[in-house]
Amino acid sequence: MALGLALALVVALGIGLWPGSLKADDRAQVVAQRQADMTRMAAAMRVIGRFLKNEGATVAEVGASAVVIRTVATKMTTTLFPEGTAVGVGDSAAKPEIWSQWDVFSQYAADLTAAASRLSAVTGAGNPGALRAPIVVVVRSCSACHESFRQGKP
Amino acid sequence: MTGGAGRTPLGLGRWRAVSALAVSLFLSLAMMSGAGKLLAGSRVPSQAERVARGQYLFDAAGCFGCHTDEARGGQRLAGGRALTTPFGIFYPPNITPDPIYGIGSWSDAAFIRALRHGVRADGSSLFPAFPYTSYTLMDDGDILDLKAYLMTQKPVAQPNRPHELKDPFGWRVLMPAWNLMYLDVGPLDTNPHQSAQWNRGQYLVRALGHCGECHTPRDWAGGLDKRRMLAGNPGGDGVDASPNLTPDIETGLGRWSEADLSLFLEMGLKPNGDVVGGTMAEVVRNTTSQLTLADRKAIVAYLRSLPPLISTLPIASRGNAHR
Repeated sequence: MALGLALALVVALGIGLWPGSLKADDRAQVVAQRQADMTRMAAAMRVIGRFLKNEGATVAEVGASAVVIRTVATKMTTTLFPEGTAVGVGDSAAKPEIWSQWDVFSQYAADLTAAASRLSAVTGAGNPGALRAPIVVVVRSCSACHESFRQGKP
Repeated sequence: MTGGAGRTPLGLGRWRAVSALAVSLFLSLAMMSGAGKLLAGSRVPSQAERVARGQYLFDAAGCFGCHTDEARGGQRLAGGRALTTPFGIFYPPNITPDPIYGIGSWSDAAFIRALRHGVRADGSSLFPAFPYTSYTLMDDGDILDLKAYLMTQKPVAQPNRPHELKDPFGWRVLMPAWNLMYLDVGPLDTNPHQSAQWNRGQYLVRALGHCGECHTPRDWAGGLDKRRMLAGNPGGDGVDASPNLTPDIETGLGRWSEADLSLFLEMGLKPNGDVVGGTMAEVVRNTTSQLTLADRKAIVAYLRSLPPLISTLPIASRGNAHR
């Protein structure tokens, strides 16, 4: 655990993402990267939506989507949300409360990671009927974070 | 009894005729008054059933979200979080059954009057931050079932926080005039030219769900612009704009399928893969996700029947899914 934290610190420092240390251009770049990752996650969620609506998405595609969501979720508290990238930086919709309530935000990120892992595991069994419940948990994890920490997009 | 033998056949016939007329009249009145349901085989609901109905109505009407300061750990229904509006800050009151600080001492008539006419138990006017302009459309039975449920909640002796409003918007004495301009007293009439599903959807959207309160633009005095009902509101919930819910192809929900709308109401997932945020996330969590599938479908049927109106607001399903 301690080794992991140390490595994360070194990585963060190495790419210049230590909270408060970013220059304006870097902050805009982080926001752009965050948007790109979030758009990847939205594309994965769209596949899940197509599955729920019986619009042709397969269990395997839902599984691949779960992996994408988990991958992005694990970056939330490391590289995607450095301090200084709130509303006002580029096209950011991140509320400042993310950093004043970092524990809450981190818990949401952990919840989403766990939910996506669970969904990925369930898709491995290949049973379409078993997917709805873990999908609901994934969507609610996203929604809980958006409810508290995203601005300007109902 | 004298001469009865001679009058009985005629008298009995008259009596039967009068009895038949009376029974017929009673049945007609009973059917018109709603008691017909009982005569047709239903029965008076038990208190437990009324409370259960009231709980469903409580969710459908979204009472929890405004009357509980959830984010700050407030006690259930003991008074809500600050509602920031152009007119100042409203603090939704305590609606627990506490007899002093809540609504525990309110009569049924007082509760109906509050929702139907926007008048408190003490006779003073409510402000329309409490959406009585929508709840007025509820029928009496639903209002009383809602009250039955509220009376089962834990009483909390917590005083209400005074609103912080700009003059003259904080002057309650002006509210009767405001009501003359903007309050169309209910209940909602059934449209006989539409299906039962459509009428149910209209009731859920306009009365219980009070969707128009956020999704309809308001004028300078805070009244809804009824010509643009559900066409989107830049002021929205006081924080975020609320999008156009009419089926306009370019600026509304015209490109959303019935399945898209139903899934959104169930869990907040949009067709572009974005997930709902802001106050609407709370609405999905506390209200629309708690409805039956039939009620969600009724909402969808009603929304899709609305006349399409063009809005200048951002479209819910386009643009970057996340920022």
